[in-house]
Amino acid sequence: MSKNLARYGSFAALVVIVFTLLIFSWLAIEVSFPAFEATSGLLSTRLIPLEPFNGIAARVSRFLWEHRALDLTGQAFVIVAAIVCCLALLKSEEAED
Amino acid sequence: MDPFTPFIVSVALLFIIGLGCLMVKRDMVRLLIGIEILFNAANLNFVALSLQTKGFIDPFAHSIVMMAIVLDGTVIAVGLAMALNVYKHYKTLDIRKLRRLKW
Amino acid sequence: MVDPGSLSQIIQFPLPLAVLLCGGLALPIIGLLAERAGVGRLREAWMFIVTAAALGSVYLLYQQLKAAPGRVLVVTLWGQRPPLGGCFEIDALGIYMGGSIAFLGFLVALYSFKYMERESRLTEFYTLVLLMMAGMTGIALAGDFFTLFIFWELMGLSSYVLVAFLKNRWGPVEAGFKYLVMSATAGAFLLLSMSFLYGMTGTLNFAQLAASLHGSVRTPWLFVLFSALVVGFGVKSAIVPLHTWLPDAHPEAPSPISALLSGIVIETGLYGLTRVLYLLFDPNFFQLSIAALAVLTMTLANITALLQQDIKRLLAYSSIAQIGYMLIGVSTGTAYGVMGVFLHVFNHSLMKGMAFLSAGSIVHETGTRDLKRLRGVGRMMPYTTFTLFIALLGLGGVPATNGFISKFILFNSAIGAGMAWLAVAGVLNSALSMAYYLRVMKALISTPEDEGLKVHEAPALMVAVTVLMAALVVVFGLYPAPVISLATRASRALVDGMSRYIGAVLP
Repeated sequence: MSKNLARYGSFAALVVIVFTLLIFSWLAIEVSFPAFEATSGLLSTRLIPLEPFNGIAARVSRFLWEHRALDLTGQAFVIVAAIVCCLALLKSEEAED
Repeated sequence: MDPFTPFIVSVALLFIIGLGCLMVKRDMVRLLIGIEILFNAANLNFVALSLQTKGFIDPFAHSIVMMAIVLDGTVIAVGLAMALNVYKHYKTLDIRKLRRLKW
Repeated sequence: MVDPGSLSQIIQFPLPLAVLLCGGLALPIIGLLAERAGVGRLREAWMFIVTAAALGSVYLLYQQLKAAPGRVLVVTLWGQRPPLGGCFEIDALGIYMGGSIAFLGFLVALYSFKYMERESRLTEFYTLVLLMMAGMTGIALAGDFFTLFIFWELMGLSSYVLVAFLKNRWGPVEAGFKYLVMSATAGAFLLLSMSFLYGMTGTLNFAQLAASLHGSVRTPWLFVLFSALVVGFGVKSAIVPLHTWLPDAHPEAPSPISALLSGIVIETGLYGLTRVLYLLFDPNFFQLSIAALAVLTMTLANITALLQQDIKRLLAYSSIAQIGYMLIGVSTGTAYGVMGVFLHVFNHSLMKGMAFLSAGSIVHETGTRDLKRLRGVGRMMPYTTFTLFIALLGLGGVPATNGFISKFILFNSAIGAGMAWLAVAGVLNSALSMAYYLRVMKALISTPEDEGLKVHEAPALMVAVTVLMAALVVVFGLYPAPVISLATRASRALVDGMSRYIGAVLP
């Protein structure tokens, strides 16, 4: 019973994979992605040039701190949550042997 | 041809590889690797799209990728901790042995 | 009297969120103090203070919102302006969701003081509960897709571990791993849809996305984006083809956590779906597909619930069915339908929270979840069984409970939107669902065939919480006006107030 179920499952997986492959290949060939078609004028103000290649990292990190500080703070809390999660999962209980 | 098509194709391929990994593989650690592939496909899409204007890059997409990497790292860490607990109970990492709960 | 404009510059973090995050950060230290110094109940006292303060600060934020121009508050850190920076954009809907979260969180915290007292690792447990509530509040208030995603992961991480918290049994660990794999995949889908959105518009701010995507040409990529969004939010909110983690995870979690998960976490997923769909697309773009998902969700969940023998698993399937009813309101595309959705979110959080807490009391006393073995238990636990009956009647939509009112509004809105077949499907499913609720009631009060279990009434605190919730269900069923007016304001902010939502960020 479970063997049949597993075979059925891998068949379904194959069908799903082929289906998505077909859809994505059709999309990629026929319809070009509407890249930045709906942008406003804001985009051009923040672009950084590609030329001094080793300057990109510094500029990106400055952008990160100057504009996305809220997300960085939230991310710090996610890391705290991950630490507490691992503590809760890996701490040995008194009841265990 | 749109200069963007190769990137889209590779992102789609990576995503499908990740989904296939999740559906076909039976090992818990490999399932987590599949999740990582899915996240990285999305990150690749961000990075590729940031090069849209010729000669310039968009720092916005790069900062998003920076934070997304940390987020999926935490998910994988918790997943590995949970896989360790599963191993304690079942003495195996095979997901097929894990069907004691009904669907 | 402080000028509201300057007030929003002083406060850099929405108050409920700040209270919950700081409470969560301080709790490990307090737990350490409680263990070292041997001060009993210190963690519980802190938990009580923080959740009560969160409830109060939601009210303060509501007062602040009323004074704000255009009824939309934009809160950022260190004066970084949207649309480039991450921001919180607080409107009536966000406050409404935040209030529901804080309310149920407060009640569940009270309940878990008694329920969890035998467990070890309580410090981590309470910390994770606070962080999960903070994550949900952040989702409700976020004004930027990536800010939403960060709080989404915060909520997700905490809930995976809370499901697997009782790790010395095999069930919770297995359910937790299943939940983690499915939800993390959904997170990847969300990130992919975000990258497509970024590729189309160059931004992730909700207001700017709405301004640039409304009325754009329908390319096939828009459908790819839509399906990625539905998969991403749908796994967390248990829409039917993606629901398979829920019937495992909700029964295996500790009962207070089941109440939180079923009562508000899946609704937070639905809130994200509703918010994003209404901001990005015109309602007639997603109407039919969401309606089809609603019918599928209701029917399959109700039929599967009929076959269950485990009381908590039955309640979990009933949660999926309620998500189906809520999707009816989402698919209508009118402010009335969305009002029904969010009214039902609040009512369902009360009813399903109460149902899981009462079932948790029974499980706590008897140690079994099997309906066959629970025969006759109701006679020995009269108060708990009474509250469970009220909850089940409310979930079935019996008049004089608040479930009747919100279901009535949902089905009515489907007729108003010209989809009478959807209302018919909803009513039929509602009738079907009564069948298994009545089965639970019959099992609990019938006389057992053999000896049966000998149990006492649950501890006083647990009974008090459930009785309070039962009273609220009946009160809001007979006098629903205050909640309805709040929900109406919330739904207007989403559906009709789009221009004000956009105008608060874009000059």
